[in-house]
Amino acid sequence: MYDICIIGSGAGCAPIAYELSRAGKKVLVLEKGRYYTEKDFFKDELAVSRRDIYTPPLHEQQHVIETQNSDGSWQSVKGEKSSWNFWNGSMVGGSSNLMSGYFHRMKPNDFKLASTYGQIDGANIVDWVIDYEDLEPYYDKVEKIVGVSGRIVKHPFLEPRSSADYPFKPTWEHPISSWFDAACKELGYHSIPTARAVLPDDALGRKGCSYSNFCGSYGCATGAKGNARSALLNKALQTGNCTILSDSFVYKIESDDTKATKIHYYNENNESLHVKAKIFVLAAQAIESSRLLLNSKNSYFPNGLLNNHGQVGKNLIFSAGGSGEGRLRFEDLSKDKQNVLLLRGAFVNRSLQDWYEYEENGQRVKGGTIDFLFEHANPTSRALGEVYDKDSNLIWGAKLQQKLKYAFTRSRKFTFEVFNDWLPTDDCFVDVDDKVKDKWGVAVGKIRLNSHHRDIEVGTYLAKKAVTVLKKMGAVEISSNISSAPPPNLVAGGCRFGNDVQTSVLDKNCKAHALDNLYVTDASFMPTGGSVPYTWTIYANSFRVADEILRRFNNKEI
Amino acid sequence: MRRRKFIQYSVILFGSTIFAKEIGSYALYVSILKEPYQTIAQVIDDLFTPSAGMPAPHSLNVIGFLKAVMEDKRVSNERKKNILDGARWINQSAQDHYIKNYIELLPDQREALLRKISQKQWGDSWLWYLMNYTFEAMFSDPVYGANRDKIGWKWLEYEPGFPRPMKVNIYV
Repeated sequence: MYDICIIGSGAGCAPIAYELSRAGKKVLVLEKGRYYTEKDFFKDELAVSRRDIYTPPLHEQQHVIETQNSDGSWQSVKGEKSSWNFWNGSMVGGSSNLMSGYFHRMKPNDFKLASTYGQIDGANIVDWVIDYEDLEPYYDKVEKIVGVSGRIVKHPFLEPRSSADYPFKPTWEHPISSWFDAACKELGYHSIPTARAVLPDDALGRKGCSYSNFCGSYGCATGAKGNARSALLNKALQTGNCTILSDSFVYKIESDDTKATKIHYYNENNESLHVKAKIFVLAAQAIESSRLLLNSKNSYFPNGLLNNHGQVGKNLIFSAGGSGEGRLRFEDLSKDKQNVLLLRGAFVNRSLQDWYEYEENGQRVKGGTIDFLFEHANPTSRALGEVYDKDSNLIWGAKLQQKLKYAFTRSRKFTFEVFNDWLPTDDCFVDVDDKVKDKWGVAVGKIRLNSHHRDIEVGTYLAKKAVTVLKKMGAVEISSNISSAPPPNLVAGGCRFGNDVQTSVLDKNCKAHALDNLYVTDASFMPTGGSVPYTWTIYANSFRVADEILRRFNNKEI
Repeated sequence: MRRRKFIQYSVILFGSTIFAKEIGSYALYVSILKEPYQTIAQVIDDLFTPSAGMPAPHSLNVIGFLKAVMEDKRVSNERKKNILDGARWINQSAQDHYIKNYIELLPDQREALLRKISQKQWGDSWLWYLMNYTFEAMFSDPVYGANRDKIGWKWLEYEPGFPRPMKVNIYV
């Protein structure tokens, strides 16, 4: 019997595997996806971005998506019949392999949204049951162990820190970052060097960044990116106490009335096997974690494991916001600036958080974060961005080719991404669809999607601020797109933590209220998401839970 | 990893006997294709008639690439059917307006017909997907067999990221 069995191998898993294996506990990690390492990662747009090779084919594994019609009714569609794809990196290390690694901490007020900003009609906002101070030591730990690079500057929303600065210097910055800084200074904004989970040089037993110009969406070929596998699981393996089984899909958790007893999984030969452990940790990413619980009904939990109060899958959230862009043209720039504009590989590494909170009609409003970056280097998507004219007519022939030539060689798009709270609502949740099965014959997850109108309002406010920077930098053809479309790679909720067993699935340590030895440590626990990408917070919380599990082992509570 | 089955993009493309440089003339290249690829090849050539230094679609072997796409399980059957059906639909439009098939039309007539169908939802979508796969052929790593000698990359001074793929990475 293992001491601990972890389902999923991403950011919610790896800190626990790392800490527990180093403490001498026998750890088993089960990962549905394949076992890729640095040598398997190539900058291959066709495979990675056009054919999605790191996620399951939708004809084998899909979701059912419910969206609301204008008359208020709901319609459902199978993922393979639509453009919806809610899978992320299905591989050892999970989607952290494919992140850009823009690392932001949540702010103290993110932990007490309800008591700070008040309730909003139609939203299920609650305070977290831990404070920023509870998580700060673990944010700090992630900086040092996973490896976060950057440079601290004072700004109005800088969160309290126990370390003066990041342990690793910033990655190589593109000269445009100084143009951005100058524009912000003129506008009175506070330009923030964005921290990155990317090592600039060899450190922590990993290679430094190769500045390949293809980071987000791509696996890292050097190990510089602080993904769960490179940064933590590899070190867990070195202890000799950790086993990782890839191609292993967990389809059921068995329990009695007080404890999880075993898990069942299909291995790569589609054989059904089971594993027993003293502690089970579920970290399969928010949607799949809720799906597995709902598919794990038994006589003690007839509505799905941990679901006797109907809370599993509820209050699913994403990151609200959107993106925007502007074009910097050669004809508007000096020869020197033209030359530096096309420099490839270096990172922009800039953010704005001046409006993490703002006032509107005399009220304090929760705002968010704006990250700035260059347009992704993928050439096919860049070319497809040029095929319509300003009146939305498809163009071709010489007109298109001239436009392409100009876009690729005489200009460059500077872009931004807005992150603000996706307010939890009653109409955004995970269920299972018993009529639609995956390739193993297991009911697929059904996702009802809905967003609160407030999400769009805040995102639009932030996008307008971002546009002022692009204008000041001299960009033209500026546009932005703030929408209620959920980003599948920024998903959380479904198994809220809290003190009330009626309204939450997990306790403050992310242990199930209903079972003594089952934890959920991906982003499922988050009742609200803050206005930043989630990965740093998932890592930090998982380190926090690891300490709690170790405490219980040491106190003979397990 | 052990069960990966590669889609044979390279085999299909490198094994093709219809590389334009071996044939010599684009008209002959189109003429030896069977429908619906004959129509599709003509439409792609009309969309991407070389100018501004762009390599011709047949030198990128876009049709060979498209045939590999048709074998790719990562591309939905609906998408594949739509690509092939579009050739039939544009020929129906050509018959409706000119009582001829698309490839029998004069260049100005083909341009006018493309303009007309691009204003319809099916036409806009179909032409967009033909452009999509043409760009994929143009920008894919030469290991896939379409962007030979990096001619697509060279045209737009595109610099690939490293490491580049050493083999075809499409699999199911």
